[in-house]
Amino acid sequence: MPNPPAVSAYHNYLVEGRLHMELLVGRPEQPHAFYLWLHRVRPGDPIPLLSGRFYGKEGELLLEMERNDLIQNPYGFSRIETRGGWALMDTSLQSILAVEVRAFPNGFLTVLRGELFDATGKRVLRGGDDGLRVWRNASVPFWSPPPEGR
Amino acid sequence: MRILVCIKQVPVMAVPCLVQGRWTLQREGLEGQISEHDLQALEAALRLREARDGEVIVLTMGPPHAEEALREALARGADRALLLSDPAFAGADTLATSTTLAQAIRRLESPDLILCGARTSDSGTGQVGPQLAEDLGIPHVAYVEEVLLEGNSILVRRTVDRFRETIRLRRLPTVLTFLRIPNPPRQVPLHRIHEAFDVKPLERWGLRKLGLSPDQVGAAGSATRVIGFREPPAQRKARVLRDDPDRAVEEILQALDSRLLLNVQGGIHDRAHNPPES
Amino acid sequence: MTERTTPPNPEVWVFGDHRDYFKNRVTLELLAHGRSLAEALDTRCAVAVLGHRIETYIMEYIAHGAQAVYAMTAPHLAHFKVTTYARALVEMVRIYRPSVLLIGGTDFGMEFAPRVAKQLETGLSADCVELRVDPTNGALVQTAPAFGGRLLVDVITPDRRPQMATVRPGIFQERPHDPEATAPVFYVDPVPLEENDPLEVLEVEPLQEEECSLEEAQVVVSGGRGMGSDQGFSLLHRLARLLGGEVGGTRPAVIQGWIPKERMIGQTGRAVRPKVLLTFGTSGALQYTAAIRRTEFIIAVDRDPDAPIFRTADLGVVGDALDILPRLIRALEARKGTKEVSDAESARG
Repeated sequence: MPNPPAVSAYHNYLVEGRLHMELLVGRPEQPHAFYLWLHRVRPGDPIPLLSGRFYGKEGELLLEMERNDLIQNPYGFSRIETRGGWALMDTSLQSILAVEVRAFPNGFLTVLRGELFDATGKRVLRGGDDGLRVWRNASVPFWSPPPEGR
Repeated sequence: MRILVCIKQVPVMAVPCLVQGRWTLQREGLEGQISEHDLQALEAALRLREARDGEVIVLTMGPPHAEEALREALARGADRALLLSDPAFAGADTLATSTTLAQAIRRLESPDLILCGARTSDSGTGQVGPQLAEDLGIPHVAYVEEVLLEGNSILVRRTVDRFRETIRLRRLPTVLTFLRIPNPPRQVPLHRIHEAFDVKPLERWGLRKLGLSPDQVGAAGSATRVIGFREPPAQRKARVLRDDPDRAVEEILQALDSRLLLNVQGGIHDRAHNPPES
Repeated sequence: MTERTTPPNPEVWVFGDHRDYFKNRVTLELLAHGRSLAEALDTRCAVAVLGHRIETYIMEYIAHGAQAVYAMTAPHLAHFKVTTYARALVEMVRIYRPSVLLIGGTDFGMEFAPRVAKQLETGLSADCVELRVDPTNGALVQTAPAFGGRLLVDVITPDRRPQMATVRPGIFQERPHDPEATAPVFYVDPVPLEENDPLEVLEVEPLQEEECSLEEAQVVVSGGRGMGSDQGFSLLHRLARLLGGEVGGTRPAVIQGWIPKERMIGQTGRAVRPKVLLTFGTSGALQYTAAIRRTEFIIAVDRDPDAPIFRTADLGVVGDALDILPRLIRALEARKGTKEVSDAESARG
């Protein structure tokens, strides 16, 4: 990454062991490509704020969300509240993406868990206890907005 | 056991004061020559020597009259003294002082422990101990309150940021800096004073003996420079009353009334509930 | 991978001492002052933070003014160990070369900063009560108490960098929390733990201290050497009870045993910020006045008309505390007596 990630005083996502205020992985502008957009959260916004196009192991489109709203959902995923967050689960309660929000006295941190695949069925991201990690050979663009101001 | 104690001679306090617009030095007498916390360190060294047999060497860096402080330390029971004195050492900050002391220590037989006074808010900055340890590449433990001998081990107890720790020293030498120890320093018997002047050795080393170059010591070897002294600025405009204690008490009560919402009925109340008689 | 670009203008750094975070505010105080120093130096103020699982502290420091964060995290950095942390901070300083490095004057900071300064072969001023930039040459003027607190000494570090200073808690004021703040975070590769640690910590226990709400008290009554005795101090206790306040004392009073050390007000003790402080027989050494400077209104009584305390007080009385105190107590008790009588009368109604 050319710039060090910008970190917010209020809310960040934990990715690759580092804090990110906002992070885009993949290509949202291409209609049939994987992407995951972790949006900046300001006081008053829902935590977290996600957009993305997620595919299954065969490269089939599982769902598309835009700022937490499911806009394409052919397999009937639901967003289920869990303790400390929520998860995207299919009809057999398999979760493809689980989100845990850790609250501090003055801020929040979001940790993502799950495995995400691209449109060719290749694994792209895997989330765990210390956050989201890019899968070894995945070549997918990462973009983090530069810090505001000085 | 060989114990080195680094002491600092406390100057007879000469405080610069503004007297009728001119800076003058006012002297204040002080008992003894050794700073309070260095005395604690010396006392700890003497107790350790009693327990374990050995030698206590006191060391100071200063002008020639710093020898008086060393004599006092010898009179209190130290075995040998070393004065590091050279015009080149003058004006040293803690960086240069620790360089000088460390070099001297390297030229002595290796000690087991090096003791100094820790910082106090009253005198010195207490940086010399840790910086000495850093220069010698050895560990330090600061704010030591007690040194305990357990078999072959040396344990120290200290309090740091409201936690009490017990630490075993696994490697010697180690620098220990002292804040206070439970027992006060001992009195000096008369015959000791005689020994201090006639019997016990006191060496004097200068720049050449240490093998340092002039730009490593004194003002030349210092990183900081004093640019001035000044009186603390008056922070508030005080109204100062004299002579009439009853009036003073009245003024104090008025100030308390307006600040704390005390009222003529006494006690601290919300004015809304108990408005004062006007 | 460590980004190795040196920032264009050498920065003002504050060491992030995040132990006991919500009580220990010294880093936040230094960040606030660091921001003003950075502005004077046309650069930014950053925090250098070490540890493990420090995400929340990074965010807090950004919220409280850090314009950049330099972080070194690893499981073996979880504990504040002087030697490891000194190596770590020195490594970060060598990469990014800040112009100024401020470290909070906690016990840890006061034994840690000298080792860092020595490794960097730079100067360190301890216990600074003022820090400002000289506009003519951009040097950091470091001001600390001298001569037992009677005077201030101004020091500069002319050639070496960074210019280092330690500052005790309570000297500067922190900025309010700003949740909208953002800042870049630079992650530095961790230094390894040293092998064969020469110091083995056998036991750590928190000090059992007398519960003391001195720091939160709205009214504080304080005494020093001029109180003369235990009896003098019992007058202070009476006054405090009448005003609903807490009792504190200066270092000489603690040494005399008139007051426990948990109630010591001073640079190595507590700092107070009440609405009103009544201080008796305290001459006003800097170590004391620095710890009371955030009081709204200071009333001082001392025998010596030239005592420095009168330059810190709002209302001063030159007189014997042991004369003034009983008069003050009598007057307050008389008022209370009147109130009790009138309360009793209205109760009978």
